[in-house]
Amino acid sequence: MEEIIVKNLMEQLELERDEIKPESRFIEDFSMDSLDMVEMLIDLEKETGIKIPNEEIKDIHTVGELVKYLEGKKE
Amino acid sequence: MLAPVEIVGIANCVPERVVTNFDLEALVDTSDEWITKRTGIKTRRIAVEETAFGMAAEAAAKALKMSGVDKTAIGLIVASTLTGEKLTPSMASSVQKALDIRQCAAMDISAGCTGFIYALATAASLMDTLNVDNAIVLSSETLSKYVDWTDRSTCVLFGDGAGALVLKRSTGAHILYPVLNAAPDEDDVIVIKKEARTTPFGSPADGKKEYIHMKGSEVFTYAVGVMEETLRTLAEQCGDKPYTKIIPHQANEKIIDYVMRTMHLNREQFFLNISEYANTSSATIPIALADAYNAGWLKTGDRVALVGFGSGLTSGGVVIDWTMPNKKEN
Repeated sequence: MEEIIVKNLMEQLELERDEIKPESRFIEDFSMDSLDMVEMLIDLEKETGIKIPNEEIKDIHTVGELVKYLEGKKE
Repeated sequence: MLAPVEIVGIANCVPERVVTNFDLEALVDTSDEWITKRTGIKTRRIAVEETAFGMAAEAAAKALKMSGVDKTAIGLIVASTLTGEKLTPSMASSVQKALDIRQCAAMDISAGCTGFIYALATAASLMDTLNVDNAIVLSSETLSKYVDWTDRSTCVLFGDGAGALVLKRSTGAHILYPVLNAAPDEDDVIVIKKEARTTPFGSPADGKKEYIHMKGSEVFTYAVGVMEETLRTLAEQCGDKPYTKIIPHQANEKIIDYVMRTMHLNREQFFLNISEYANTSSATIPIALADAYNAGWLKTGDRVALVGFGSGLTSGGVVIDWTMPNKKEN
């Protein structure tokens, strides 16, 4: 799951692989705004088939938290 | 069936008053940088003296003049608007009167920001049904009258303006493959309520003025999904003669950027003027069509896809084989 998220973020935000760490914060470290977050969720839903309601992303702040959230949903 | 028609006149009309992002900094807690980064919008035109009807009439008159079609030969006017000044008569009927067209069919269409595509498909279809040779299709909007100018999340997004075109029956079909769709707006993601008056029989009016109500994240999710789907459908319909240019509804540049990225399309394939006019609802596409033609971006022989989405939740697209002579460079 982490690799899927990393790949999508690299493509969406044009980041290098080593810039994306589990502790990376979406807003503070990647300067993402609310629509960037929605874009990320749409990309991930396409890739994983897991639907993430927009309101639930408000509690997810880092790459690591997103990995944990999606792995939980997958089970 | 659509009648075999082509576009022979195209024009737009926008208000004189340019309102910049810096002007909005004085109204709400926002900044040019914030608006530009999140929307791509730098300025918008706001009607001060102008009206939606007046801009529609002016755009239609200019398009008619460009077309060389005599007004007595117009058999149909289809207008798209959410923000016309009158409940009745329709904007189309008002434009008919303003242009002094003595007899034709005239009607309005309400399909949110997708309205122009609905109007274009309806007009081309009715031209077949009614055996009409020439028609005017237009959109005109004054969203500024429905914006809460104290709400920084919505007031930065909208502008006013109109666009019109003239359709003429031709030997071949040049308006092709219309796709019109709608899905129920279960969560009321885009709503503008109409103000109603209290009756003596109960049903009191709400009393407070209603503004544009929009859930941005949900609109974004819907918009990118239907734009991708519509563009793919149009590409399939086009077969071995693909569209090479795209004029999308211009609501937020981030929506268009997303579709470019996921569908591997080039920015050069898109005509964008959202930075100048913001979201003028159903008028964005005809305003952009006129600008694209006048700028020389649209050339004879181009196959261009129009794609839109809006409240409803509506969506739609159509392909145009552009036949008008290239605009001469000044």
